[in-house]
Amino acid sequence: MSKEFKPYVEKNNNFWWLTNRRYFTYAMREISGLVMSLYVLISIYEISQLTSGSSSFIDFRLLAASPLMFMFSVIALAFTLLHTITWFELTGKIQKDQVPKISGKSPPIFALVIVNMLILFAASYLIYFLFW
Amino acid sequence: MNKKIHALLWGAFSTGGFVAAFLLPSFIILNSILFHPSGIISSDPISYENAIIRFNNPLFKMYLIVLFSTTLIHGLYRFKAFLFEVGFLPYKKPITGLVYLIISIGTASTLFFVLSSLF
Repeated sequence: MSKEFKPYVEKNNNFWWLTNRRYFTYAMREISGLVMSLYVLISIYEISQLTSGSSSFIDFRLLAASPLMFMFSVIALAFTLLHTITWFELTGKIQKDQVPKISGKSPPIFALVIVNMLILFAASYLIYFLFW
Repeated sequence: MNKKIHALLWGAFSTGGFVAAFLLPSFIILNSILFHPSGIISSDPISYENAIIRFNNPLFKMYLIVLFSTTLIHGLYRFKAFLFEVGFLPYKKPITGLVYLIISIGTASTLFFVLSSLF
């Protein structure tokens, strides 16, 4: 007697990103895109209030002074820094083959991440000096 | 999708990643945390008068246009790709349309508010 076997169809698990730490970090990195975009959209609204006059801008600033908005800003900064560090790690893998070799060896990726972080601090200070 | 358009979109995505990595952290810290309106450190740099002076600087206008538009492109494009990996692939077309709509509105709004003060 022969049996018919159905082909095995793996069920989709949409929560695969919760199954281990690396997948979770990857998911947080991707979600950082949404959080950064939300912050930018709020900033665009701030600019619109600034161009509308002092009373509109002051009303926005009162909203921005709320604990909820401050918490959102802190969360947005955390996600942005996650994006920054993972971006530097990613670009480090490309940069290590493009920078001059030392004793015939490419520099380690973490060294390139540190260099990029130093450039970040310099760029941040320049922005503060120029605009704030 | 046309290969040239796809390549342009990837170029914009990559530029956005670079800009967001180097310029967005300082913007968030300076605009929303360090000089918090509650005056924890000093709210003077974000007073209306100082904000207007800063906003009228042509270099600051360019900085805002580049920062906002490229961050929107990168961030939303990245999140869109993630949505497709967590079960929303059947809704690819409406999600893609919505993402590009938000990017377009955000970029157009930035250009409008930043450049309208010139006229």
